[in-house]
Amino acid sequence: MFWEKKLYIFTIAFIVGIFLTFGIHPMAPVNILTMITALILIIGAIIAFISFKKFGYIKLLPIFIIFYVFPLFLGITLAHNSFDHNKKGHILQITKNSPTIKAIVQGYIYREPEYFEDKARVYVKPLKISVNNKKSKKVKTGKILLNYHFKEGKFPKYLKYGHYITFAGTLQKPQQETNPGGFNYRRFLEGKGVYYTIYFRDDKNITPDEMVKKNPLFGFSLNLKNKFLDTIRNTVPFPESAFLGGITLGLRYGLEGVRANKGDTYQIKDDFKRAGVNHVLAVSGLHVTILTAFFIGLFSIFGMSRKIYPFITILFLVIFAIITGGRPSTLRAVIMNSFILSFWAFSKRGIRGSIEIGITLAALVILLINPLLLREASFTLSFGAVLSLVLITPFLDDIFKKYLIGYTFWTFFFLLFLFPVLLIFFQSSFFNSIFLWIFLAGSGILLYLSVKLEEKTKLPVPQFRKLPGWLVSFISAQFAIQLGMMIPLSAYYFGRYPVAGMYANYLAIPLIGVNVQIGMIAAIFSLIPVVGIYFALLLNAGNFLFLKFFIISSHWFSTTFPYPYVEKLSFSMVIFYFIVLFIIINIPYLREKYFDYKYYINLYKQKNEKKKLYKIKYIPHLLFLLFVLLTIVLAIPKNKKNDLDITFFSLSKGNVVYIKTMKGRDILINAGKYTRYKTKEWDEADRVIMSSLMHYGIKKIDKFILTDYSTDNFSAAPTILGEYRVKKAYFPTNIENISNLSYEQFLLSTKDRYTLDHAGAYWIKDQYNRGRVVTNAIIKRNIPVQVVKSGDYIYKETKKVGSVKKTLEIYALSPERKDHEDYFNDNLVLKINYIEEKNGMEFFKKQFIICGALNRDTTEKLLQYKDHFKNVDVFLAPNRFLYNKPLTEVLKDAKPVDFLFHLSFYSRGKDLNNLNKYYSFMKEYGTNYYDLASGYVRYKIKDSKLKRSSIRNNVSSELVDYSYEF
Amino acid sequence: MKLDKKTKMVLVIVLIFLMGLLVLIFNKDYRIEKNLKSNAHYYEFLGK
Repeated sequence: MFWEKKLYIFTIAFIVGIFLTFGIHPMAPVNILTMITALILIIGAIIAFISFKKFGYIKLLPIFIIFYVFPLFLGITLAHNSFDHNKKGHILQITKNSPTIKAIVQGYIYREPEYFEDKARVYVKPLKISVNNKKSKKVKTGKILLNYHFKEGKFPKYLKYGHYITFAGTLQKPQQETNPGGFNYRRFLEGKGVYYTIYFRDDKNITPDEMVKKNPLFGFSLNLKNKFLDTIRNTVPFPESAFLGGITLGLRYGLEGVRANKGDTYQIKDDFKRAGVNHVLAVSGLHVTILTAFFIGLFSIFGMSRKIYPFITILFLVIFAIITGGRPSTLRAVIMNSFILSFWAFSKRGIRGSIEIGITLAALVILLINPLLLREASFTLSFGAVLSLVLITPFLDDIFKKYLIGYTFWTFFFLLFLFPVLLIFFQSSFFNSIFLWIFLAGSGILLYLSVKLEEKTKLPVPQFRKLPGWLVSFISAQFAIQLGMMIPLSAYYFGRYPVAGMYANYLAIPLIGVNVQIGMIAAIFSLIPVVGIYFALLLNAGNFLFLKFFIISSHWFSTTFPYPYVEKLSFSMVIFYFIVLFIIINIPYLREKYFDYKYYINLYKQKNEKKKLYKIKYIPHLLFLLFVLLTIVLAIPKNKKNDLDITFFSLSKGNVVYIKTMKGRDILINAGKYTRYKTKEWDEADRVIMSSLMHYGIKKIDKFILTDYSTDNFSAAPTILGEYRVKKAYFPTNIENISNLSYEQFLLSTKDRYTLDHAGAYWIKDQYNRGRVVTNAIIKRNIPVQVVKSGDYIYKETKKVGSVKKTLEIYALSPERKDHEDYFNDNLVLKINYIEEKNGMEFFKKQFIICGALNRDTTEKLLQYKDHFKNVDVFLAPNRFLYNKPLTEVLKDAKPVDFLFHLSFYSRGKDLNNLNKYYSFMKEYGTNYYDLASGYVRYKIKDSKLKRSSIRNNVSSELVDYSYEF
Repeated sequence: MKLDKKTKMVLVIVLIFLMGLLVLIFNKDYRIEKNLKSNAHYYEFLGK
């Protein structure tokens, strides 16, 4: 017990050390920290030795130093070491930390690539690197991710584990978050030790070397994987084969672009996410545990000794980890299960005791190797799940067994079934409203009353504890996972909570157990020559029914239950939640060990010690009051209200803008791009914009403005309409008419020669098709629509603060009112004015111009509105502005302080002349320019000041936190 | 009648085999050739 406790403390202190580093790095040079850490250990050891010699036991001080202080500094040192990019042989030191650099790299593929239908992510350990044609240098630390896109069937055989390759090209640092709340790919890859990426579309610049470095076990495992994949392809039809391949072989990307039924809105992988069963595709703890249980069951049935079969099981688990790609989450689970099995085999501990030590050792070993994993979602979710199961399940088990009897039993299960009924009927409007809190409070009161009723009447049946043991544990475990992981971590990481998961997992987890085990048995049977494949066919035909049922039921849960947005919790709120949870689940233990409350009350009553009696009676109440106050302080959002908050998102080409007004209205301009080619889908609204809107805590959109029907700005609008409650939508033309027009009639609305010459082009047809989808969505949801023309106001609000009057107005400069609508060129140009006045005198004014897609004719017509954009502060260029000559005339009048645009890499290379003209123009007028393709720009107005913040300040600069007031 | 673990495991596997047999009997499309055809684009570049 002593050593176990010390192990827990050591690990916690080590984790705290790593954690502190994330906040305080860089604290000191790594070599100094290493010396300090070594010194602490030596001092602790010396004092421990002296203490033992002198007193016959080791005193508290050396124990404190060795088990508290030393691991804390060890964590700090190792984390600093991981962050240290200046050490000799580090790839960033060799490339001098350049964001992009031409290089020739010699290295080998150190793990199995991640395969998609037409691309592979190949992880390369570089051995030598030559940058900018200089002499090559040895690389000790740092890896490269090679993204290889290939045509169907033309995948080079040598891009596999163990092969040595040489390649030449431009290394690029991975993207950091380019939008608020966006995914920081650079940090994610750094957690895997990868610092650069490189892209290839063919293998012209890749040369295989003859050498192959293969660990025999790896080679064997990967051969086995290919055989198993063949078995699946032979014995299960698509897409069930892709699902089985995902859960048994780690080929999770086989389901990309696949839908359960043709015409479904969501793909199968999205169904899984919405149903809260997405974890089945991430091969990790659950799958490893299923296999562990399977092998243990199998070997124990055949009478093998408990001291032998754990090691054979561990060997199989290692092979499984290699087969499934050796992902960090799988490795964690394998290390954890290996420790658990070893302890269980050789110690007197039961499974639970072994699990506690196993988790701790696994966390320690994994973080010793790579401390940066502590900040990865996959690490916290993986360990969070296991810790929830181990720590919270017994507590809930006791509560359920003690209280769920008779009336309480019925009340509890009635509420459990009422909750999904309310969710299904009222969807997100129930979940995201006061009704949810009323329901929870009401349930608490009802349960309390039922407990009191049960105490009086003592109805003996039914009893939760009399249910089958496996069901009791399963129900307690599901609640434990929700409380310990899903609720807080879904809110913290994703800003969305899959409510369906609370119910879907009762089906999903047993089903996965069947799917994985039968799939594995079938794969093993298929190794028998000649007849094996037929045994596998029989088994997988049976398995097929369960696979199909899993997909169908996930689809049902996904489409029946809501998938609501929730407030994205801050880090301090998550910590507070876990502290409270920790206290609650330990109340019985704390009470017993530290504070026998009733005993002291009786004692002080007997001794007539009134002062002490009052203290002991009121301290718990005071503590409770303090707790409530602290909760209120943390829960109340800080007043960060700005008078105006505008974000210009970073996308491929689209002009998408989000506005938060001083009265809290949420206005979204445009939706981004949606494209679909065969099975490949790219939805900017889903992947980019919604992450940022979730980060901002947006749950509805007051005004949704679409400037035009171009693919870049408009095509993802159905996603926004499907996911958010939109109160009113604004279009430059009458969109509802599109559903009554044929494609030819739609096309002939314009006289624009370029459009008519490209009548068959996909981007033209796309506008028509997406227009019809949006029209249907608007009609279905009863969203009011306003057609906006030049001079029309979209929004105006005024607020008086003391003697200052603040006004925000948004209106259209274009398109002009005409008899006949042109769906291609009657596009919106918006003007936003923010004005502050005192005693009728304007003293502060900021102006924004936002352009949709504009052609040259429409841009020329803008010049008639010169007065509206003279000396504007921020000008958002129309899409494809490089080819829009009249824009320069507009800009000469506008002379914006900031000029924002999207410039694709393609344009940057192709049309350098045009680009340089713009740069000279900007320099002449002292205009700041921002390429939104590189990162978002955000403007906030507060206290009569406009503050701009951006990720990058121009096209070629490195990441700069650039804040400027003007 | 309480069954031991070994018997339970054998029964489950036999049950799965029987279910598979029923699928093969009633679903004429469930054959190796047709499965391979439907999986034509599923990681064809991996495997044998």
